[in-house]
Amino acid sequence: MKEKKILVVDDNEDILLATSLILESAGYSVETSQKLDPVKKITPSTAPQLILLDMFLNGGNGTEITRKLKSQDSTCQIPIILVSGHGNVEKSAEQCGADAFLYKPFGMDQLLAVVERLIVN
Amino acid sequence: MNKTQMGFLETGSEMGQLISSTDWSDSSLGSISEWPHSLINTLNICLNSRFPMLIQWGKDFVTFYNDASLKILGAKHPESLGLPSKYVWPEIWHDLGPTLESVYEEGQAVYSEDKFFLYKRYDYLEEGYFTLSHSPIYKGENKVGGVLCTITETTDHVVTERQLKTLHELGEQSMLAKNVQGVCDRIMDVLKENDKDFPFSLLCLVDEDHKRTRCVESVRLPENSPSNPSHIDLLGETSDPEWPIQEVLRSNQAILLKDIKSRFGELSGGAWNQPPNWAYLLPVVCPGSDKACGCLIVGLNPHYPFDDKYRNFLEFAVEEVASAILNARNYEEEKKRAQMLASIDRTKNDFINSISHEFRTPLMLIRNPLEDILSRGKESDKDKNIKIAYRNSLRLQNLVDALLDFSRIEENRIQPNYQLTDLSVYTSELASNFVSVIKQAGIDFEIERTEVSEPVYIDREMWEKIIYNLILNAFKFTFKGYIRVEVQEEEHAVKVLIKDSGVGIPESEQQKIFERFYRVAGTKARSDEGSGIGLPLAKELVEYHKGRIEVESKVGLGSTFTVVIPKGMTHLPENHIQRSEEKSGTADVNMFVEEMKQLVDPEGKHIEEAETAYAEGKPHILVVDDNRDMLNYMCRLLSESFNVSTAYNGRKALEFIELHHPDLILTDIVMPEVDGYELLHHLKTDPETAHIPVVAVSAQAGEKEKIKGFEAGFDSYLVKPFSGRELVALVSSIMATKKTRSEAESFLHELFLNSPTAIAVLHGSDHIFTMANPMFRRILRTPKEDLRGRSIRNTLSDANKEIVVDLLDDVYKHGVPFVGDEFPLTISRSGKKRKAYFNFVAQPIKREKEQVTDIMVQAYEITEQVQARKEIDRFFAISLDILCISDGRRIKKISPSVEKVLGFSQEEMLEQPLQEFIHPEDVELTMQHIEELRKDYPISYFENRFLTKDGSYKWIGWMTSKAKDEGLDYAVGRDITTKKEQEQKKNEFINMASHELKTPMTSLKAFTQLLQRQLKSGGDDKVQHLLSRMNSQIDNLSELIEDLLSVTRLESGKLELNKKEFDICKLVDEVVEDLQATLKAPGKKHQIIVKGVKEKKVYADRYRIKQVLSNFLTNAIKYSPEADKVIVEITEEENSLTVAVQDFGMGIPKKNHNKVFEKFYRIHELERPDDDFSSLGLGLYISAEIIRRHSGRIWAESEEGEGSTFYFSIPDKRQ
Repeated sequence: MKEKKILVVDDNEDILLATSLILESAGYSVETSQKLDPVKKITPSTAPQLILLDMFLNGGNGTEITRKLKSQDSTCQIPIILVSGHGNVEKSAEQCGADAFLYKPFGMDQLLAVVERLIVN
Repeated sequence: MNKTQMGFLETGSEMGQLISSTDWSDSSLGSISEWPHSLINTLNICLNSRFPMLIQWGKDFVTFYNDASLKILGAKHPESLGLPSKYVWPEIWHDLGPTLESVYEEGQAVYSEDKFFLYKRYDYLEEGYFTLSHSPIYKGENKVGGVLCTITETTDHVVTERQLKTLHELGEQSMLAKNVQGVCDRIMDVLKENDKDFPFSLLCLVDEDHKRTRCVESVRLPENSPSNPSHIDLLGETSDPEWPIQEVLRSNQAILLKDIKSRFGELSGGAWNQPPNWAYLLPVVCPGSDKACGCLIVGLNPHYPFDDKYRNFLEFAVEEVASAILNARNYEEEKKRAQMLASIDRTKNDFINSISHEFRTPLMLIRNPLEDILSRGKESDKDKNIKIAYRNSLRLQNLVDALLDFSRIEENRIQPNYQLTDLSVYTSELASNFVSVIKQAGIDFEIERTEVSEPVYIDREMWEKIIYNLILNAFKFTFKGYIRVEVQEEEHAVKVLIKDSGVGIPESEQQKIFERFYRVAGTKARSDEGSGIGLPLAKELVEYHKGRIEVESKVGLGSTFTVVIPKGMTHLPENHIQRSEEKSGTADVNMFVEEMKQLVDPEGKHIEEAETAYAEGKPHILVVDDNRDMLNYMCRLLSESFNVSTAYNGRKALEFIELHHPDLILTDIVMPEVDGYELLHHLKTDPETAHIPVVAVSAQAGEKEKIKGFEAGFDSYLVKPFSGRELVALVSSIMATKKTRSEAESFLHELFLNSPTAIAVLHGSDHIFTMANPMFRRILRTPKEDLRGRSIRNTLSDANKEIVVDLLDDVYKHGVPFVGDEFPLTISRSGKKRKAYFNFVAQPIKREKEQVTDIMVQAYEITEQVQARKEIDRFFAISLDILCISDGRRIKKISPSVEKVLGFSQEEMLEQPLQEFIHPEDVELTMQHIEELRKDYPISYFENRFLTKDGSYKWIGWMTSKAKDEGLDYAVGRDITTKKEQEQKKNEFINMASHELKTPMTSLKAFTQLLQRQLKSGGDDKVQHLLSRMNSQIDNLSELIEDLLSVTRLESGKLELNKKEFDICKLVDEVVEDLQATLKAPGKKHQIIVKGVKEKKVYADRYRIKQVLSNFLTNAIKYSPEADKVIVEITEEENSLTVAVQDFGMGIPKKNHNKVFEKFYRIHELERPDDDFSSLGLGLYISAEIIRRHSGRIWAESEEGEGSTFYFSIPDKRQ
């Protein structure tokens, strides 16, 4: 069985830590980044199984990169979960092609349920 | 100079000889041989010329002239030859000298045409005209030796032209002649113009009686002097100097009167300084006549010879004058004749008209009784009918006789038969026929017989008529006292006097009574009928005896008629005198007696059959006629169907009407004392009787009379003669109409009295009230007064009078209604003057053609309404907030404050669509609020952004209300931009703060859960419990943050709905599951039971609806700590879905049922300040807002102590 790698991007270190702890506890391998660079550099060979992405980062807009990934044949298969603490962004998250959206703060069970659903599919 | 040079003097001319025979050696020129060549040469030309020429030589202008000039020089020849010119023409030297001097000095020729000189050719100064050429005669270089004058005399030409002009102008006058005086004026104006030929003039015309002449016009003669008298007597002799006009008129010849100076002194010379001493008097003989009708006197020109030419001219002039006068006379006479013919025509027409009337009544009273006898033959009436017919046939005969007499008199066909008669005896005999009838009437009748010494010649038949008519006349006008017949003898005549003590005749009428058909107007008389023919006939008949008839009378005292018959027979035509006493008169005295009987007090036996017993239920009719027979006849016709009362004249009718009000009045028009028109006027002007129909019954049958009757106000007009059936039918139909009309009228009258509108009718140009209902009187503050008969002018206060009367005058004049909207009047109310407002109409009523007769005024007081509107207007004006009324789409009214707030003027906003001013993002919200208003919410508050003039938007908070029945929305808007901006900042801050809070919350929550999981395996229950509490508090905290965020979003309008279709039942299950999970913790015992529909798709924002559900459930659990269950029920209705969450907790007090949805409301905040209940109080408010944005409904039901149920319902389909 192939390793289930998840890329988590958030500019808050604590969130990165908490998220990776949760995901790792469920058996996923986690790569974290405070910047968008790793997302931008994704190639089919290095592609993670899933991306968990904060919508509003200092270095760029999560929706834009999502739209880009989803528009490329090579990366469009990668499930993307957008996360935000702002209200009323659910709609724009859906519009850019994200597979799921989570409001901060989310619960452990909630996160795992979504991730599990997307990876299985 | 040698002889040959002088040869020209010997050519045989008179002047040549004279010059050569004259010894010139002592003259200034010296002897002929010494004369200069230039003179000789010029003389040569001059003497040989046939054209008059003069030479004036040297500086003395020594005179030479040729034969042709002799006529011009006249008596000045031959002495003038060789004389210096100033001695030849001293009388014109002042004029001639300077001309000669200038030619002599300057060497320039001078030419003058028709130059006038008063010139002494012979022994007097003569008017002369000359065309002259003065040219210099040069002797050597540039030196003038003398003047050559060439002359043409133009006197004849100039004078003739002048005279022709006068004749021409005179001729024109005769064309324009309209009357004699006028034409004389104009003639003399023409003569005045020509002051040379007519230094003065006077025109006299002979009067019609040929006794004197009138001097109609004069020119330049002193007024009222012997030379200009106003008239000249033709018969008498006077010592005063006079114009000998008689002589002229008698001889028909013109006279030349010399030396008038000695007769009248110096008279005007007209254009001349010298007074004329001769005058010419010409007879004015009209063409076609051989006798002079006047005389024209002309002063003669003193500077002109009175020759044939002058005389002919004057004779031509007088002919023109005569023909002008004749034309004027003809014109005048033509006009007079035309007038006379017209007048004769009119008189004749009047006569025929009157006599036909006179015939009608008796004719009808003969015909109708006879018809009655023939058709019905009611035995009891037969006698009466025959009597009436007989009586009236006598009357008719009387009229016809009189008419015949007149006609015979007029055509001179009467053959008088004069017989010697003892006038005293005969007159007494005739008079005695009347004794009994006059005494019956209660009047003394005295016949005084006086012995007459000498019989007189009379035509007895005529005399009878004279006496009968005079007595009848006296009887008609005498109601008490006496009638006396006296005979008196005088030296040359016998007088018969008929005196009475009757009503008398006003002086102004005394002569007219002898005119045919003249009636003394308005006098009390027994009857008007038949009069107007007796007295004129008597007069004519008396004149046949060369006698005369006179009247003396004093109003109220009586009259005396005197007939004077001359004694003897010389005044009568021989062939009509009959010497033997033959027959007496044939006039039927019965006729007169019968007529008198008719006149006797009608209230006596003549009305006996007229009035019948009064029967209930039958209409009551009053018949008014001064003819007894007529009265009886009509009475009998009507008495079957009606109650009939009678009055024999207008005055009696009025007396009757004061006591009774009949249903109908039939009245004759021509009656003594009060006639039909006057009666009608009395009736129609009294409101009490104005409604009674009045029918005229008259013998005056013409179209004109009928129209006059209808115009006066008669309801109908019946012409005599009429048939019985006609009368009954007319009366019945009027009564029927009257019945329906009176019902309708009383109904209308009732309406009028009770009308809430003030109504009044004003009559005539003075606006006299004919009606005013109580409401109108209340407006005028005269509730108790009867305004009728008063002018509105006198009922208005000074403050209103002018404006109201002016507008009424206008309506009356132009016939155009006046509509007053909110017309202000000053009215005193409880002693204070106040403005009151009325809506009113002044409607012109045209009864006759186009003339306005009345004005109907309708008024409605609207002071309160106007006041109320003004109050509102004032609020509108002073409000700082925007006050706006719209019909939901357009702005109908807006307060001026809008300009301050938005910059738009009122005008820019009015009638504009609301939407254009609302920020596009707020349109939907605004419309939703307006929609809500429609759904019975009395008042609604909302805020939106409104466009300002500079294009930016301002926040306006609106309080709105709806008047459903008017379809109008009322809104008060306040500028809340500043508040909004502050709120915005606050919201942004909260937004930011809560977002910032969420980041650590996320990590905190994750760490807590991780810790919990790790410790699970460790099995430390105590720590486990603490972590669980911590987790739950983190959830609470994030919920609070979420609520805060939601509220700020709601308020900044940023809460966007993300609507999708989803199954609401699944959502409910999900929420319940999540919640149930948290309830597994110790101390949580609530069981959540879901009931109702199992599957239901809705179109809504899933996240927000979930928020609402969570809120409802969390609350339900929170506020029912003692209970162990919460019930969720989903029900489906048509087009909507309702979710109810029921708890069994403490419940909410009724008064707070609706408050729970308000912002920051906290249930039981005072009673239970427990930590468990702590919240921001925003949950239900947010829920309510979310549901509202789904166009749904949210509400609560609760019983205190038993629990609450919260509901929301949303539409199930996309809208």
